[in-house]
Amino acid sequence: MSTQPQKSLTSSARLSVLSALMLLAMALSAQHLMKSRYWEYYYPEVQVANFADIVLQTIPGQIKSFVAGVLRITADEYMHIGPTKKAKQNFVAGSFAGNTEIMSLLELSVILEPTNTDMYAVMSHNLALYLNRFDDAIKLLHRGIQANKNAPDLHKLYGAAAYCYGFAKKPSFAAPAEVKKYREIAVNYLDAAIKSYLANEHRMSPYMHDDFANLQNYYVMQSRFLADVGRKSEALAAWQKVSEARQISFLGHYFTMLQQEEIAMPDFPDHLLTAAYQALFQVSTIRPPYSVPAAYRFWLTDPASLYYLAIYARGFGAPSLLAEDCHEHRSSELNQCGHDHSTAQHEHVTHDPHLQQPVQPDHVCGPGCEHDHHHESTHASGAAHEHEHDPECPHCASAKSWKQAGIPVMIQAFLMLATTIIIRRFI
Amino acid sequence: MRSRISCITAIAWYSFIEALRNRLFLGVFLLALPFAAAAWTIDVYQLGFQTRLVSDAGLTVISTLGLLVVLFFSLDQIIPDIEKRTVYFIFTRMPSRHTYMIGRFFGIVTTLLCLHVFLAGLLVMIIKLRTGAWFNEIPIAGLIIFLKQSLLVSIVMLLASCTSKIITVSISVLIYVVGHGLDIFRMLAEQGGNSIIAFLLDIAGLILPDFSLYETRIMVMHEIPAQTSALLILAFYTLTAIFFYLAIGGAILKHRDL
Repeated sequence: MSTQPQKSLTSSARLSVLSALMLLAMALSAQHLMKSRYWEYYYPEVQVANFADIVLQTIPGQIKSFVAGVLRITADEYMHIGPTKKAKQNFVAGSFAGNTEIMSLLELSVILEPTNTDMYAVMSHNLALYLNRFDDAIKLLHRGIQANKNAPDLHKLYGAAAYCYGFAKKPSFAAPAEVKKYREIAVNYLDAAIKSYLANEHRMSPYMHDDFANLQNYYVMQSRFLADVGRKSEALAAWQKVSEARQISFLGHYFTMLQQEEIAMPDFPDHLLTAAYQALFQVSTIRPPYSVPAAYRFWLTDPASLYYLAIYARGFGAPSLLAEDCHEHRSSELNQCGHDHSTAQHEHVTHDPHLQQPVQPDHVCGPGCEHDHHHESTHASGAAHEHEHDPECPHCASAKSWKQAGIPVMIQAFLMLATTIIIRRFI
Repeated sequence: MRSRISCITAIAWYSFIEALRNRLFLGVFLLALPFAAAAWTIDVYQLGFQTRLVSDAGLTVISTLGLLVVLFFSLDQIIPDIEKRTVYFIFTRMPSRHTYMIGRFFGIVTTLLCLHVFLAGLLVMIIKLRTGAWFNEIPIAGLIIFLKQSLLVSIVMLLASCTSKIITVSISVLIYVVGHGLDIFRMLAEQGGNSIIAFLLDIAGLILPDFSLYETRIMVMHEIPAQTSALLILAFYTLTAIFFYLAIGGAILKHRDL
């Protein structure tokens, strides 16, 4: 008796499952049909070329953008830190040039957020000009162009490609024919960059302005590369579009010579710059130590080692920038301990009975000074200084970090210990 | 005293064995292998081994996996014992409930230590094999992360002794986050002119742990050696804080009607 309804129940369940599966299959087919037929609408700016791209499509854009941002910030941090001290790395702190540590992070960043055109430019310059991976750089830029076909700042990618082609081969190191071949390609990319810029100018908001990738720079590069490849009249025409302020330059000098039909014209404008190149090499005048912004965070490390951190924290480590941060030491001369001892505020006396002669007020302390100061020693430089300056003096932050962090830690530790004993004894 | 120590050792040992037998722990260990392989696979442009990137990412992975172990395994110590009523049997053989809690704590800490030794060792060896240099900062950073997570274990134990699983996880994560930025919150309150909140945060600063003291990133990234005295103070601070939270947890468990 009971087998009949049971059978009908089973068959209806089967029918339901089959119907559900059929509906699911139809939905998936329709979805894929729509995606393949109207792919430009569905994936307007993103290349979907392989399985990894499809997987990436399933992650919400905000999350991808956030992670990409974190990766970019980390790459920027690595750039400022520079190479490790224990392994050989051919790059310096404060520059993207030749930095290999950042490349994986930036690659992940552009995979997650292919619409960030600035990263393509940084990566391609690094790959083409410093890491000897020219083909990879161009492939990357092509990937970027594909992913940003409708973006208003597409010109940046063409500009970056032009820069790579234009400066990958230099007249000083490569054969003139090879330089001309590369610069002809660079001119083509510059034409595309200018065309894209002019077409999208109305879509650009003020924050999209780029100090490097802008129309004026494109005209400068275009005129220069056209001159290099021998198209002098076109070069002069492009040069006329450059603003007068920008025309005052070595390149301007070259074009003036060109207009005046000078006889002793060099083949490339680069040859006019030989003297300027030599003047570029300067010796750094940065002297340690400087402050750290949040000493509390660095309390585990030796204050003497914080000089590098200070440079990192302050960006480029230029002494002028560092001095600007300290209201006590603005426009003053810093000595090796990072303080101005040239003013009469610091009173110098000798404690050694054998060295009773007074120290001159304009004396500048150095590591070899045998006299002591009125105030106590807190610096690790061995120069035994303490400051009667503002207690918030940032130069003292590294030296005070130990006290700032250590004392509250110990107080809290002892309080917790006392409470523990009370709990164990009485509760 | 001797029987107390043997009880603590026995509980710690069985907690450790229990954690090792857990498939989740094996999963956490196995997770380390794809991350180790990532050191090679992440090199898209064949630029060579990236020391800073690998050490930074490696320490982040160690910290994250350690945090997973702390949250999942600490929860599996006290609350299931109470729910399954096995805690009655244990308490009949224990001198006090404090002893039980300390034993459970040391079990998890031993598990955590194994994980950190394995992962930090793996990271140091990968870097040594690829660069030929010993990065001493990594074991020290591993030690600091271990201290930080041991402190978190004691907090989780305290919460597990008086609340349910979901509340324990939520409050532990909250304390972990707040503990990293208490001074920043305080500074913001002070800058906003809210002296009452600043005062309350000062009070909270006495009770809550300050996890920002365990900052290793600057030390590792800039390859600056940690000061031994600072490490000693940090170890002392961690120990006192652990005893503090375990004492409160033990006292709560003692007075709890099971």
